[in-house]
Amino acid sequence: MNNTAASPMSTATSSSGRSAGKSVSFAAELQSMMFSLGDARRPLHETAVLVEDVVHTQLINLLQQAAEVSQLRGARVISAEDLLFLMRKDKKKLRRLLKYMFFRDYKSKIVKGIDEDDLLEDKLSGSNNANKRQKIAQDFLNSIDQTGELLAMFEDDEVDEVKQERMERAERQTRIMDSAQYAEFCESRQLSFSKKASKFRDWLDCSSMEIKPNVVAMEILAYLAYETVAQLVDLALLVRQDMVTKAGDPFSHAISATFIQYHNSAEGSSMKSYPESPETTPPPTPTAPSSGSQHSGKTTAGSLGNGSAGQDLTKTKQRKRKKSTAACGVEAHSDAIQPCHIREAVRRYGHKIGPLSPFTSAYRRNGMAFLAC
Amino acid sequence: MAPTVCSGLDRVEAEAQGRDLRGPCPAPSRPDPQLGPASPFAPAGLINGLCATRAQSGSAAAQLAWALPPSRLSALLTVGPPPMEEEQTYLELYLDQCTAQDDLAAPRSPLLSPVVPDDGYIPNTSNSETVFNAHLQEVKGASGHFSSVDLSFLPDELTQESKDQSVIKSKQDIEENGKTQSQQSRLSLPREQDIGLGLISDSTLSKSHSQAYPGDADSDQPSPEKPNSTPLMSITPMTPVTPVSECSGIVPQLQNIVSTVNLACKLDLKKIALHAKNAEYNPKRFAAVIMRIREPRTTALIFSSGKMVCTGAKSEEQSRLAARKYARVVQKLGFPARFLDFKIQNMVGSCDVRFPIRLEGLVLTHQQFSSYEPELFPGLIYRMVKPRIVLLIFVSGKVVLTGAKERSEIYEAFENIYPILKGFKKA
Repeated sequence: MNNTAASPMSTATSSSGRSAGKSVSFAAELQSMMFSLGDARRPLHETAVLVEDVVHTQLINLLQQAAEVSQLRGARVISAEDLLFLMRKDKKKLRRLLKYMFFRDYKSKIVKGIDEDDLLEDKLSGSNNANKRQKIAQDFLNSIDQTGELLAMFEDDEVDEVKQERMERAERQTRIMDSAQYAEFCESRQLSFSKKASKFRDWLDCSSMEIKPNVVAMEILAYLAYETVAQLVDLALLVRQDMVTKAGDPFSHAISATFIQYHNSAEGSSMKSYPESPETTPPPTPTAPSSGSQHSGKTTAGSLGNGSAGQDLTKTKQRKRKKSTAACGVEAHSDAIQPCHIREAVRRYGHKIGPLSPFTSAYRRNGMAFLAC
Repeated sequence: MAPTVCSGLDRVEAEAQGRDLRGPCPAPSRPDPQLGPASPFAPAGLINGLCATRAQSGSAAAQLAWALPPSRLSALLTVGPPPMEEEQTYLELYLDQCTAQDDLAAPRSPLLSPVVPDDGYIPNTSNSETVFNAHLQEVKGASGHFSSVDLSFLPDELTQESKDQSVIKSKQDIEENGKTQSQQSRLSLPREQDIGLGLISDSTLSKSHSQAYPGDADSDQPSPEKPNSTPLMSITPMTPVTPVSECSGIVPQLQNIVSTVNLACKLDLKKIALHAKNAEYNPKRFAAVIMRIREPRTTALIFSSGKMVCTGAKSEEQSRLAARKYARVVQKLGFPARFLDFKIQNMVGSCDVRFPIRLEGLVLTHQQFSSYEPELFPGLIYRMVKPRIVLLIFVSGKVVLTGAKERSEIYEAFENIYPILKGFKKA
């Protein structure tokens, strides 16, 4: 499934979703989720909408490819195995998914043991549920594993750096909260796509597909959606950090010139702007519908981070920044993630670097870099 | 609390306040002493053991204490200076030890070398100075057991024969409903006295003394109030030094007990289902009869092999009683049911620490034991190694403990986790 096929479809889906009055929108939940993942206390609605768009498109693409795989093996439903197969190239993400699945099993086992009613329920429904996901994963990986490295993942106990970083960020965030804020934070953290399974299913809208995902596959998709949001927030935070000029940073003048595209036209006068900015080239990411709204006025102070105009203009920039931040008072103090951060993050993520980039991530060849797998 | 543990927490907290990034998590890198309490001893064995070590101690006062009935004990505590000084020197040594412990760099003094590294987790230890006083009267009042009084003087580490045994703080179990514990000696920890150092190495405490230190008398720092401490000698109650939580003052309540028993005869499930009241049997769904009784309120799964699972009881005795009742029902229906191999398979307890807990911090510092995925489950799942208990810790402060085969494991696990949770109290 190549990009051109994906984009119109995704455009169609998202725009039809939008034109239908956004029958199913996760924007509000996404705002909560982003807060729990490291964004500001009140993430911007525009950012949430953009994130929803990205996640939706990626999931649809993923589903399509899973359906193809499923067809290849002649199955009638998309099952966990198909999704695992799609993820086989990226060890780290696959391991994270496996850990998630095992944790789910483990949690049901424990919770079952606590409440006697749960115990009876489980017994009555046939107690072959224990470690069901783990068995599925193990059996499948067993069957496709040629070199033994996939199976080695089961014993692999090294620290997942991305998860570690997220944990540390959460810890830092919560340290300074008081208990009321912390209670809110915890509630936000508990939000997930799997909690809203039916809404998620509607949102995905698999009705047009011939092969539909089964229950475990839906769980995995919900997890992948959450993981995509988390990745986006991670990357956007990095991008935002990059955008801020740090005093004494010797490389600030070398920061990517593409920041200019996010530059507010009001400030552009004192800067060189590149007419052939990436916005005019076809974006590699499926955010085509929303690319038009780039200059939505949500310019960040970060746009001053680009040093294309040279070091001597730094002071001018900073003065301009102060003016601009004073001018756009509301956005100035908001440290929420802006849509431009998200866009830049997706752009960077999809950017092919190096000779081996076509082989580094699943389905990069197809033009779509999956964030979650 | 073992000094190492409290210092570890201090470090975390200090880092939490000051620095952004933590280095290697202190908890994982440490051997996690707080999770390894020494194995519990039988009370008789414990007392004997303590007596033995006591005998080896050179402390005159202590020996006197051992030899005398409690009523004369306090009088004897005011023995002249030499024993006092001796104790005081030991005390100072210990306190120096404690403060040095915080850097984990101090060479272990023989005084405490047995205690700290070997004993693993020493729950409810207080790092503060030791003062013994009229708690003895309370001890007396509480149990009237002579040996418990002595144990207050006795060292915490049974197996060490370091000659300067620090005075141990004792806790006394005065549970009204009678303890079914078989292992520990519980020594009281009266409130208004400064407790002794160290503690009983087995850490299962069913209930702390009601006047015992409240759980919030916590400070992770040993307070070297040496002038304050005329160890063992003063009768008047001293101001309670706030040690690291000796006891939480909270007792987990048992919520569910799962037990199995073998009736040792083949059963006709259909017949049982037809004749027994409150029995349901759906062979297509599940191959067992589900029977319920009202008193004690329990549910039983009865299999055709004669094995039976009984769930829902709130105590071991109730579970056994209920199982017997079910066996009686089966017997009355004409089967030669016996009552073999009654075994408690799982016990679930729960309690409330009554403060919110910052789970993000806990999962970070205790990574190898905890898993926390709030999207999946709102509680943090903590797999304690010793005792092997799984705890579900919630933000609200509720704690559920499961996986125990004995009541003591639940109590022990809770006492183990309580100081850790306090370290992550959300103000």
